[in-house]
Amino acid sequence: MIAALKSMPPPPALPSRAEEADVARRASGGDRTAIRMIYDRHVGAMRRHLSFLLGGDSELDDAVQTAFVRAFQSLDRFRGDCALSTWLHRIAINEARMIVRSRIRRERREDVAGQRALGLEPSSPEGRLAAREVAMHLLRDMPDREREAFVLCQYEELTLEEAASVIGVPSTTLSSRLQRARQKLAEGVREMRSTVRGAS
Amino acid sequence: MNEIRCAHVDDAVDRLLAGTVPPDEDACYRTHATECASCSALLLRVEGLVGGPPAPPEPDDLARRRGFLAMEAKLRAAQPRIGWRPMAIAAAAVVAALGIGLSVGSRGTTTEPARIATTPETAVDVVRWSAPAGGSATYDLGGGTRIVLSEGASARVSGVNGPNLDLTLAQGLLVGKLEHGGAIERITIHAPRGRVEVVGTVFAVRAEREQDIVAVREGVVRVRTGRTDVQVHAGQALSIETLSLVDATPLAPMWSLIGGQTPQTTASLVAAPTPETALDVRPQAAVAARPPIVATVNGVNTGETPLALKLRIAGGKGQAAADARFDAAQILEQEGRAAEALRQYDLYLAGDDTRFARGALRASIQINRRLGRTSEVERLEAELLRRFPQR
Repeated sequence: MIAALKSMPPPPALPSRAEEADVARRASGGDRTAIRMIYDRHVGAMRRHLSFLLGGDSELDDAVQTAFVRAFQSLDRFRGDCALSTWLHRIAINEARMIVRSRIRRERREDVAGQRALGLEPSSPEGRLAAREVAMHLLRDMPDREREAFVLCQYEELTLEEAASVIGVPSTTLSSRLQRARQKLAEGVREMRSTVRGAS
Repeated sequence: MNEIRCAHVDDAVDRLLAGTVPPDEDACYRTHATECASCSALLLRVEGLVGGPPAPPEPDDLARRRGFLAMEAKLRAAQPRIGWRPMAIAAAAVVAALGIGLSVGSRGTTTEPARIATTPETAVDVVRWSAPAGGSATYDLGGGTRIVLSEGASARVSGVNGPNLDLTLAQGLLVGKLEHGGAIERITIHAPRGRVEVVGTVFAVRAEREQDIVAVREGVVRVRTGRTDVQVHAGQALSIETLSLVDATPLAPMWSLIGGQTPQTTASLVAAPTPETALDVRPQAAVAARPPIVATVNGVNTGETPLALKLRIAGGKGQAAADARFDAAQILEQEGRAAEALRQYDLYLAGDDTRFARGALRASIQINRRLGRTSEVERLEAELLRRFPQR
């Protein structure tokens, strides 16, 4: 096993900050090759971030493209004081905030919450999927700050310090947000049980 | 933990979410859930929250390319709109840099071309174009591209974005010739009843009280009204409002304004075409006269000049040329130019390097399905099955 591991090619070296800054500068000047390089290097991570933040893959492609558009439009403001991936992660968070807000407004109009609580039948595979979907709705309905703290620590498995760095807050603040997020989600899950019981 | 009740599960939700429940306690809750539908549902929701959504698959090469092109198109579309004053400056800059000349005179005669002033103050005059009463005004945009206004026409330059020129025609007749190789690569005419997009052709737009008409002498222009998109080919004239072809013969004299030979018109009065059928009603002579597709791609979404893209397709070899062709097909598809996209996909599939054949075939199937071409869909599906039997 060790021999096999030794024979594996080394992982590609991460670009240095200086290289990243140079590529970013060229991309902000309209260099298509640089734009393509940034896109190719970060599109996978961007999709993952947004998928978690949006709670699924609906509208994902559109969200990824829009996030990249925003990134390239404001790339001249990238100062190189953090990794480009962190900077893009922040843009993904901002993009997700906007999408989630508009989605909540839309769902309120359609009273989706009431329908999904009543329609749940958890024993089947479909029920499992529905349960996950309901859980994701709970997450989407949370305030941005708490949802982001939960997603970064729970799904992206960042440490408190790493997540705090991405969001740009002290780790103690992030810890409080994470705590509140878990409490609110727990309340949401319990409330949903009473809603279903009341309806049945 | 033998006497588990629903209340116990409720109390444990916070800790379940934090992942701090010991395994034996967790097992008790699950045992209880086997007999309690409500707790079962609750635990499933907790699991859903803890596990989160599945990570999306890493995009493959094709998905990356498609995604990048779509993103790039959005990036271009999101370019800040040029305001009036900056736009005037931009127009002046374009004019100054490229030595655009203006001549205004009576029909059939031209005065010595006068250089446009390049200061921002006088640049406003540049972006408002008009023809004098009983005469015509010729705007030479360089590289053989020019616009002639007549019949009391008035227009304004409503946007200058790189090689793209937007003109808003208020009234009268506008005749234009767009040649590649100059500063302007694409002209969009905003007529009162629709939008006319021009890429390399000789065309005319006439805004009248009752209707707007677009006529084409060479090449193809695209007409958009609302969500409808129709192509007008050489020899055709189209009423923009009704999207019906009209007799082009009476319009022939106007081509003298732009010079060159007036071709035989081939279109006669035809029933109103749908956007799809419009692709097929063009006369065969016009099909033969169509410029190479690469010339009409125009680098709009690729960031390349049309010349570069053309060279890459025509002069490039192997993979580079094939990739350029595939890019062109996708751009055209995104822009709703179905027939041109299909043509490019066909050429791509007929080439030597067909790494994205599956994507090209699927895209072609989708386009043909949208156009209702059942037999073509069947042929392509058979081809897809032949090339990718494992699918």
